[in-house]
Amino acid sequence: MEKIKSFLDKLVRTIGGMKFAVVIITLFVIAMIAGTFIESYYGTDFAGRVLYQSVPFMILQGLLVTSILFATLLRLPPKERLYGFYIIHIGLIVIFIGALITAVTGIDGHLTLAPNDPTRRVILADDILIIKNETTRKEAEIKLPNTYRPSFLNIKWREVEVLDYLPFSKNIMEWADAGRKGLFNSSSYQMFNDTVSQTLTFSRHPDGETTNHQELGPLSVEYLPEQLAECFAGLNRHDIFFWDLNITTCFNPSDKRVQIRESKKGHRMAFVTYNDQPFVFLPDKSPFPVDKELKPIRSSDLRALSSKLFQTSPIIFLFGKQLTFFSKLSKQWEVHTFQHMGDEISLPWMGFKIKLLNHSTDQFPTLTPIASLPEKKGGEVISGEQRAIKVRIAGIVIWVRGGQEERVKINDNFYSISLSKKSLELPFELTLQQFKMDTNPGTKTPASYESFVNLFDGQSNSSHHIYMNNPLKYNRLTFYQSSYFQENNGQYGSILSVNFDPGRPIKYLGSLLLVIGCIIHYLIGLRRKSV
Amino acid sequence: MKIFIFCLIMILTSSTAWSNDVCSEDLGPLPTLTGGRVKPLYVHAQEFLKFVTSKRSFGNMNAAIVYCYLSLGTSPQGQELKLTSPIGHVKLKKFLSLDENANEIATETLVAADAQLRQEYQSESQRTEPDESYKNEIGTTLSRIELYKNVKDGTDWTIPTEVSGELKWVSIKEFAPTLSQDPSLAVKLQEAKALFIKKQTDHYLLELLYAKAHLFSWAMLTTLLAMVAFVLLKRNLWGNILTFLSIGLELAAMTLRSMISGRAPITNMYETVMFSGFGALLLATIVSLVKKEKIYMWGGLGYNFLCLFMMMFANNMLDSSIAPLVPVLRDNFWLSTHVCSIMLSYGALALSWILANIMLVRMRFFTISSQDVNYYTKVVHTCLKYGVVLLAAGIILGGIWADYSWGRFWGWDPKETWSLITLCVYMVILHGRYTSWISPSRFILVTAGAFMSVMMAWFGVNYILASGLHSYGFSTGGALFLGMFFAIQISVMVICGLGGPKKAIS
Repeated sequence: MEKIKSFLDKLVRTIGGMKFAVVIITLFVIAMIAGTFIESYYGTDFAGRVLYQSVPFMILQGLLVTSILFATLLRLPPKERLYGFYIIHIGLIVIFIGALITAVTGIDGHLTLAPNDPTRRVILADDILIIKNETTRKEAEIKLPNTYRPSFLNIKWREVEVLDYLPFSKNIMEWADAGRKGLFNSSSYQMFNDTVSQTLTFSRHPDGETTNHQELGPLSVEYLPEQLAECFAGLNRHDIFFWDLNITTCFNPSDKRVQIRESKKGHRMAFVTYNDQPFVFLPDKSPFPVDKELKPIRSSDLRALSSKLFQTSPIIFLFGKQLTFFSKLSKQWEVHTFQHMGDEISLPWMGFKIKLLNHSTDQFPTLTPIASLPEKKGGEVISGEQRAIKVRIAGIVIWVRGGQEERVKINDNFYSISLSKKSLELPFELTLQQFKMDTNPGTKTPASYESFVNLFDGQSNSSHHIYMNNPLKYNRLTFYQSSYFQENNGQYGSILSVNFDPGRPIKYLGSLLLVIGCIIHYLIGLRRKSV
Repeated sequence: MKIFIFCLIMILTSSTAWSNDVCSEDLGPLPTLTGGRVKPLYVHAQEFLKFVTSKRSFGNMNAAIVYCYLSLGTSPQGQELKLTSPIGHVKLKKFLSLDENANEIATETLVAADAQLRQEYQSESQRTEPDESYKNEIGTTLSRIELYKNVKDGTDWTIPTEVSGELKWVSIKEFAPTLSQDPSLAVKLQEAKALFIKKQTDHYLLELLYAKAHLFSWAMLTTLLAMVAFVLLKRNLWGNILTFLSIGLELAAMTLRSMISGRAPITNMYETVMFSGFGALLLATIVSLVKKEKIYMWGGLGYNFLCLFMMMFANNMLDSSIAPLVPVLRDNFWLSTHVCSIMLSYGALALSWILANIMLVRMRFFTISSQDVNYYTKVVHTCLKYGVVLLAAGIILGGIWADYSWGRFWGWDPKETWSLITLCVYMVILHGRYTSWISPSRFILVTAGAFMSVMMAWFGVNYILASGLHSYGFSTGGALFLGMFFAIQISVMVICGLGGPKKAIS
């Protein structure tokens, strides 16, 4: 008993002692310095996960408080000359308690207000995975750990297994088995001249995530099914051909299904009967068939490709191992073939050359997330901040990316899986009536951001004006002007940050104590000196 | 007030011989709208000339006249306006095929090379490992070209006109498309000025007074003289008078600046340097008068001089122009309490830093009695106490402001974190000192070093952390300055600390 008591006594003395305090504060300082540099390299989110919200950092703060607490306890019973000391240290402890209450019970989120759209949903910071079985109408919400490390979650919900979670990832191009019947060509090329070089990857595979159109300055590149190479080659004989997207075959005006006439205004018109359906084209104007009012029918799978459409602008058509373009020199459509991987073909524009890097019909490029560090350029995080999670449903593995929804149908069950942010519903509704951004006269730099909102609490409406340094306080929640966005129609939407902080008065009380304590401490010092 | 300002301007504007030319010194007080504010033309022209040529005037011509000639596309008799722009980066000199020792280039030559420079900037940006300092230098040069071109186009100079009863700003090109040589333009311009003053205010003329009075240069001179007086003269009278004069001049300058901008003068790096220097001198003067000790005054004058020196000469890093404030800072109460408190604290800590460094050198290379060591330690300790209390108060005020305008008391933002780091560093020192864990000579050493955390919180967060470490290269003004500061401070500490103090003679 005696031993335990003396041990405890010694422990309190150590933790309350100056050396312990100095060591802890020094560690705290080192951690914070590291934190600011991590943030500078990898962005705010990453630094928060690595350090500020991490358990070791919490422990360090806990030790700091313990040290302050024990240092105070050791100097009891109260002595008059230490009154300032007590108040300062109690103030610090009170601030920590307030911060703890904020951390545990506070709410910190944001509300995105599109113009004139009543909104209740507040988005919080926590990442969650939502799995919905839309057939049985059951759903699960899985909270994801607040970590920076790739982690193996191994959570099971019915048929769904949640496997790897990558809080920070970027997509890399991988060539995977096509896995489907049919011919789907995929290729990657390098296009370069003396100053520029760019790698282009294309795929005609239905699951391919690449676009099949690229622009390099004035030059455009179009990637098409292999089978169409012959059709383009035929353009030198008939300057037009018709192409069904679904079956990737083509036919030209010599086909009996086609009739070419000239309109009264001298435009060329093509009348095509295809699959027992009549189509009318103005091939020199647009590749789409037109309706009675001569408007293009963009949903049609049948297209007409006229040589004239492409002769004026620099455009290359790639078909995997073949490519074609209209040469102004020979006034011909030239077809070139890559015999082997790594072959180069010179193009007649700006000294460009094109090199075949990879080509396949039974593999296709997919974007697969891999763990990575966020990458910053010019003060902004440009890549590596994507969250990704690997999910297996009845043997099929899919990647779900942050902010996206994946839909899978398995054994008559229809699943939708999405990786998003936790949210909560407000008991009232906010509607943005107007977002106003003033600029400094004669410039485009903003001078103020203001939101005019209507609040409907189920019974009555009230209007509020929220701007910088003037938040809306309602129902113990506070709404601050935080950001804005522009919608496609040019109207502005507003983003408010939403905050509920029960620790606030306690933190303020602690701050007040700290300041009063300092004053008392120095007054006592002055009096002692004058005595 | 208006008459007073007008008279002052008349006195300060030493008008040379009256000429028939449109471009004369009379243009100085014309109002012009630029960068979101109405300024006197003189001030805008000077800022333009400073940016493009890094000089305040061209030959014996004042900035407003040069600006006028360039905008109107004319030139004064017998003199061609050949501006030159500074070129610093070796790679850029090479790109422009300049001599390695050349440090300027004709601005017109730059304009001719505009397209090439633009391309070079593009290709440098697209590199996987761009040379950020080179890129920034090209960027600055391109901005110079852009501004110069705008002035020459006549689109930069804005003039107030009346359009159906409303005041509207038009460029000189629209205002006088054909009148470039006509003396009646001068009259028209003066009419435009009268119109603006009638319609709005002549408040903007304050800035002309501010620009022409050069109060900070005078303050720098008096500060220097005060230091000399304290050293050379036995009596303190002259030193005290000069110190008060210096405080008065700075106070006047800051008051003018506040009146011009309508806000507390603590919103950018230039102003914080100015305020901390002023705060340190004020604090030092009060403490030295109360305690009847000259040493504080010395430290205050020294630090104030350093700050004024930076404001005069570190133009790459500190921008002296008055610009509109970003929306979030537009709250005068919080801005003045929070930033003032922090800046005063930096001032007090800077005093401790100066005194500690002087002590370090004295202890290492000169003999000093242990009585003196104890005395100076106490002085430094006093500065630290004021600094720490003000810093703690400033951080708390900042927290409350952040809570009030963003909804959070604390967010581990780099600026916040570094201010807390600074507070913790000084806390460790104070606690160590309270319990005599840190000996007086060690105390001096760590106090000298601890100011590096202040510099990091003050400048480092903006110049090193904010730009992202990928792009530091220690080449841009601020980062270079900080790097040099750290290097010098650390070498002083190593040289003076490792040798150990000379044994005190009691």
